[in-house]
Amino acid sequence: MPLSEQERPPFVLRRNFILTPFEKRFQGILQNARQNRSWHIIAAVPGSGKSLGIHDFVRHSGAYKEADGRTFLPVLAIRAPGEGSTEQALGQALSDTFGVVPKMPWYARRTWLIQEMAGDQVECIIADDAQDFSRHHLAFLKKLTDDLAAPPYEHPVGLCLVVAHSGNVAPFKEVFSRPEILWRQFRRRLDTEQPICTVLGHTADEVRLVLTAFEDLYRSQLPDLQLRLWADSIFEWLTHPILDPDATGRVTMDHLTRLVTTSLRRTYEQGATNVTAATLQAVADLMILRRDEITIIDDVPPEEFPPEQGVG
Amino acid sequence: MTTIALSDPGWQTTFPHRVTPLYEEWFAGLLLRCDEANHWASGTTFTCLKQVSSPNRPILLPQLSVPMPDQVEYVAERLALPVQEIRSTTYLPDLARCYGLPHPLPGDLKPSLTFRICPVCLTESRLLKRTLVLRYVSYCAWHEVTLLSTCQCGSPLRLFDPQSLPFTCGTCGRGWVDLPRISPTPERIAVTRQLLSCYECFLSWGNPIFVNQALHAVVHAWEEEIVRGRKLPVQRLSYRKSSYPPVESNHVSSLSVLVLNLVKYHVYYDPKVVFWGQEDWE
Repeated sequence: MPLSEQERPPFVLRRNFILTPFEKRFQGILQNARQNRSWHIIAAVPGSGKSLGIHDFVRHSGAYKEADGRTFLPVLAIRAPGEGSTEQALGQALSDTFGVVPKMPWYARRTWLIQEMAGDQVECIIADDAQDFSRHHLAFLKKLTDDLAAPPYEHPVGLCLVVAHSGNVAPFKEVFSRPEILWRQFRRRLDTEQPICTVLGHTADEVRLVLTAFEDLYRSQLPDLQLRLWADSIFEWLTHPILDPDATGRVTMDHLTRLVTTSLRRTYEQGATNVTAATLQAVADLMILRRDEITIIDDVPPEEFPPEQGVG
Repeated sequence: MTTIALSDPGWQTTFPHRVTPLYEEWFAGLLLRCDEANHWASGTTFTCLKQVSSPNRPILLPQLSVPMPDQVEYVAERLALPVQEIRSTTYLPDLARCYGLPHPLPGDLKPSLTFRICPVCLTESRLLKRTLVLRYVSYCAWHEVTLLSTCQCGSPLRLFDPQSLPFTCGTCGRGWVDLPRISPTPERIAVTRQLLSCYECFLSWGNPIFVNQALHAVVHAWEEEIVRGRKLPVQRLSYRKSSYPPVESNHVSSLSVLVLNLVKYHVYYDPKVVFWGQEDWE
């Protein structure tokens, strides 16, 4: 007998990080860069979970600030600065990762950054949304890491330029094909074995694994939840050309999360304890067929729900 | 909070490197150690502090001993330390108790206007003690060396100098730790010990009644001087003529002047501090 809506508290969206097969592959490269101080360009389609993966990787990097002045920041993660394509803008973004840094002239900040990165034992820089980097940003990163690797610091640093890409276009191909020495030097610093990597999304079997994790996450709200049964159908829906325009044949975590959470919320609101094929199908249709449909909103909603959050 | 992890919200609201006050450390010394720990030029943390409450109003040396509450809170937040711990580097809690004031002001203490250091305290632990700022105190009671206010190059020591590293002379670059240790004269030691003992008395367990009694005792001592037909001491006259920059006060008798008079007229006398010679008041 389904429970009525009135008897249940509102549906709670779980935002826990799931170490999916994609994240394992992605974080594996980040870990490699940290350990070997190697340079990589890492590409994945939008919505794969790159940003969440970086966030989780940094969280578990062991960084700390002690009250006695000791600070350890082994992984320094930044996003491409939204304001300005200058090296100062990137320098500011790098400084901000350390905490509150007073205003100082650019020449002083640049020197301070190098000193601070060496002092805090930075092992790897991860740049998210690196596709938005300007040539000035890339040049500054090279100069910065060169200065760190040179005496007196002699502190080589790994670098991961994480880019969202689509199609089979190699990231930064245009930049690196320029004749200037700088770009040849930059290219030369990339790892020998895996200079440019594309991390793929989830296969059908991997989707099943992720669905298992979702079952565990929502078990308290939907006690009879069985998502794994629909793994093949879900895989088929989410590799539809509309959701997979590059025909990778893989499922992104963003699409999977949206499909599952929307379906589970609907199920919960209906008072059911397990999701049905019809609900999943309806949400998949919404994502595929009615993706560009405009919803007319004219009435006041009875209850407010927090917006769903995707990944990537 | 001892350790801050990257996932803590405090990571983004603290300086890259945190420092904790040392025993008896002065607020300004803490700011300098913060500069040094963060590889910043001398006075960088102080510049942040200036922007907190009154960006256009200069902060004078007395305000670093009795700072504004929001300045104390700012430093506490940037170091992720309890506000009380930062307050203890100032004379705020002591003056609050001594005068029964909720918000003590620099004029209530009137600390020294000259920045001075003890080179031995600096050598041992990069310490600028709170007592360095007490007026008329001219030597370090811990190490028995004279407090220095000028470098060997002749330049006056500047607490904050954006052109130099913390704890160094802005003119010649010499580290303050390398300045000479000069032993004070026994006469100077005698006077300073009495002053320190009197300061300690007020700062440790002073209260408004105690301060009032002390004031009456000083007035009584002055009256006796006049009855006896003695001339007022030169130092006192010159003191009255001397100018102390206008600093905010709660219009109470400043502690430094009170202590000076109590010791000078022997109203306060600590028998533990024994000296049989001539006192040096210069």
